[in-house]
Formats: sequence, structure tokens, C-alpha cells
Amino acid sequence: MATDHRLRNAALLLATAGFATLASCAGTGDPALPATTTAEPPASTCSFGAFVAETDPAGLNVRSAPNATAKVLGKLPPTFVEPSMNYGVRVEVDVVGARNGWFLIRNARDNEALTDRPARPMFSGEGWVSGSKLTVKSQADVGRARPSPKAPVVLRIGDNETFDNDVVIEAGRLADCNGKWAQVEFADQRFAAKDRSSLKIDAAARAGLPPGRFRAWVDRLCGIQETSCDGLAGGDPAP
Amino acid sequence: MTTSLNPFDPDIESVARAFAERAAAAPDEALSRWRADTVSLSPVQRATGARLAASQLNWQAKAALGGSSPGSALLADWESDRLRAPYVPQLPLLTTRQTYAYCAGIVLQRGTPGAINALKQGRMILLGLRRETSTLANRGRGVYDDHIVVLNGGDGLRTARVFPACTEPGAQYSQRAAPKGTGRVDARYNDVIYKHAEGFDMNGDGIKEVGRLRAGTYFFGEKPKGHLKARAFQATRTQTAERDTDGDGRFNALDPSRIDPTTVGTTMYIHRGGTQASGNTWSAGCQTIPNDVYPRFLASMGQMSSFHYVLVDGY
Repeated sequence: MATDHRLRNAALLLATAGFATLASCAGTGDPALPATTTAEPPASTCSFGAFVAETDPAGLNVRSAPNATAKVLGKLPPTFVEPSMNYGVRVEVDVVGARNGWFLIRNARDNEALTDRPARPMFSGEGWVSGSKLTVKSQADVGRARPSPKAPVVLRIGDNETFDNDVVIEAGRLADCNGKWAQVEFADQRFAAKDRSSLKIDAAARAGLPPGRFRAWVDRLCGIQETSCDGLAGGDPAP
Repeated sequence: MTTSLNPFDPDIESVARAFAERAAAAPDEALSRWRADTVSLSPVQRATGARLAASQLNWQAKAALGGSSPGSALLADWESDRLRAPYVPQLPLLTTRQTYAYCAGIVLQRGTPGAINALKQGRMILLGLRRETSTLANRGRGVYDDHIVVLNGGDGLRTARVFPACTEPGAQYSQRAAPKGTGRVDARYNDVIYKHAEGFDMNGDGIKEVGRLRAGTYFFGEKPKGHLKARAFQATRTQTAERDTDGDGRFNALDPSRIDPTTVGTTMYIHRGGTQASGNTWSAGCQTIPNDVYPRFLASMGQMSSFHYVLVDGY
């Protein structure tokens, strides 16, 4: 097990060197530089924090348009795993829009509080990444059919559990967004059997999706990994 | 006739119990003995004895004591103690018996009836002892200068395991520390190592204010499926926060609209924080315990998955 970690981290180091080179070549590794302008506008706009769920040591490509063939603007490092910790630390990003399952992100950064290491170099400008590589931490206790607090509930976890636990964060991937809401797609197989049994999934959450998949809209999105966010239960700020 | 007390580790609980048992039938004798027994105690020990004794007085005892001027004065003094922030000693320097007595006295004086019953029944409860600290301290990354104590009175154990803790948010999570132009949203936060803006705008000035858990008793359960791959604990009912609406780093009467009973939900958890060496508590309002002692904290709780948490503002 320890050897696996060493090999993995050696690969991460090599990959990190690669990010630095690419970022330097692209001239976008410096957060002080202006954000990259992307050609295609998002179909929906939103504003919340998300995490990069990438395990490939080569990292995640950030592209100039919402498709897999668009120009690569830069890369984001994979989840950081250190042998003395038993949890992975993901790169944090701000999500500002979505189109066709791709998300417009900006301000990518490492979580140095959790890695306890200097921040890895990475692309921090604006660009598109696939929603299959993004996850969110929602402090909501229900998932809804639409991005509205009045929409029908289609997903619950356990006995009114909140969605901000390790299992749900790991299992969810971004499908769409709208304002402060994210549509999250889950796969049954991403839940261990004991956790799967606690899910209460309405048929509407599976409608139109391949077998074993379900989706729900969640709000109360917390963009911090190391702790929870207070104040999200209040909705809009006081007038 | 006075109790012979061990000068290094006096049995304060016995002194308090003896006083409470005699107060109704023989108030003058009880008072006389109380004075003799407590004269050599330190101020912290005397305050502990008072809290323990006061919690055991029934109405007959209070009526009897109230019949004399010294008795009335003593009751008034004990009553006013409830309204003052208690001094929090360096608990790790106290003996186990002194620590348990001190903590039990605080719970009996300030806990809800549910927490007090749990303590009396020997069920495990947690006590948070907060020393007021500015959110701006340590460049906004928080300070482990509070205590969380695991009190276990079961099977006659009467143990009190003390852990360093942080019960207040760091300004690293304050919108006031966010970059703006070449400075910050609030120049008082120039020294803060900004992380992310959290909180809620209570006073409508367009700035979200960080919040801390308001002193009181909360019932916690284990958070299912963990937090950062470790056990963590979440309140079962809505919590109340205090918000630093004037941005001075403190939570006090100078903050208009300070009390926030609605926007927190149950999100102020008890979870692991950064190590003591890292100097980062990871608290945006949660109760955090350093990662390097967190395993011992969990071990001290055993398999217990729900408990009362009594949080007290001290100094």
C-alpha cells in the first residue's frame, strides 16, 4: 500500500512539473494575469464553488470551448493524496456557467490548508471542463427535480442526512447549474451497498437516464473542503 | 467539625454535597462549615464548590439559607456568578478530580436540564470552554486556545479528557479579507491570509459576516458517512450563531443584529482541524480539534454517537 502511494506521488510530481510548463507556456499560470476569454457563452449561468474530481496523474484539461476537441488552455492537477492522510484533497474552482455538460470555471487553486504543502502550479484563468470531472459539497438535505426550493423532492439520503459527507461528494458529478443550484448526477455503483440502501430515490430522478443513474438539483453549496459553510440556510441576504 | 481536605487535591464535590445536605435543616451550621472548608481553597476551587453546591440546593435549603443575612448574601453571590463569564483555568495542569469537578460545576450551572440529567446519570457529555479570541488573530487562521472536554461519569469513572480546540471562526473565511483593488474589502483585514468568504449578511450592508456558535447547549449526533474521512458530529436541531456585524473581529454587544437563529441550520459541526504545528484551525464557525490529537479525542468518546454539548463563554 505504501509503495502504491510512493509510486502515485512520484507520478504526481512529474505531472505537476508538466502543469508548470504548460501554464508557463500559455502565460496563464499567474493568477494576476487577466482571465482567458472563451469563445462560446454558457447556456446557463451560476455561481458556486466546486472541486476537481480527477485522479489521472496527467491532470484535467481546461479547454477554450465546451467540447473535448477544443484547444487546451491549461491543466489542473489531480486529487492530492499523501500517505499520512487518508483523504484526497481536490483542486477548488469557481463555477460560473454550463453548456452541454461542460462547465465554465475560473480561479482554480490548491487547498494548502489540507495539503500542507505549497500550492501546485496550475491554470487559474477561465475555461471549460467536463462536468464528469467536477463534484460539489451541498449542505442541503434533499435533492429536487428543478432548481427551486418549491420543486418536488426526488432524492433523500438516510434520515434527512445532509449531502455534504464523504460518500455523496465522491459519488456525485456535475450535470448542470443554475444560479446557486447544481444538478448532480449519481451512479448507483458509486455507492457501497450499505450506503446505497439509505438512498431514497424518486422515479423522476432516474427519468431519461441510463439504468443505474439518477440526478437531483441541490443548493446550499459549500466551496470549502476542510470545514462546513454557515449561513447557507438563510437564502438571500437581508435586504 | 470540618472536613480534612487534601491541600493538593481537595475533594470539592464532597464539600459541596455536605453543605447541600445540611443547608435545609441547619443553615447556620452549614454556612459555618462551608466557610471553614473553603477558606484554604483557591478562587477557582471555591467557585467550583459554589457551583456544585448551588446545583444541589432544593427549595427548602434555599428558604432556610435565605432566612439569614449571611445565607442570603451567599445565595445572591452564587446567583450572580451565573451571569458572569467564568474564569477558565489551564485544565491540563489540574488533577483529574479537580478537572472533573470544575467541568461538572460549569455544566450544572449553565447546561440545559437535559445536559444536567445526562451528567447526573453518568452519561458522557462534552463541554466547550471558550476564551474570547479575535477572528483576526494568527492572521485569521484561528487559535486553539479553547478547550473541549469529554466528561465521562459512567461506572464511577468521573474522567475529564481535555483537548485543545477552536470554537470561533478565523477571518480567513471573512468577506472583509477578500481582495479588492490593491487592498482588501476592509483594511483592518490586510494581514489576514484570505481563503474563502463564508457567513451571512445579517445587517444588509452587502458584506457576509462570519459567525460563531452561540454559547448554550446543543445535542449532537455522529455525522453519517464522515467528514474528511473521519468521524465528525452534527447538531440535531437548528443552532444559533453570533455574527461579527461590525467586523472588529469580536462578537459582542457592539455588533448590531448579532444574534442569528435562522441561517446556520445544523452546519456548525465538531470535526478535525489542522494540526497544531500547521497553525490553521480550519474553523469557519465549527468546533475543531487539532488533527494530531483528534484520534485521541475520538478514542475518548468510544462508540458514543450522540451527546449533549455545552458551550460556555469564559475568559
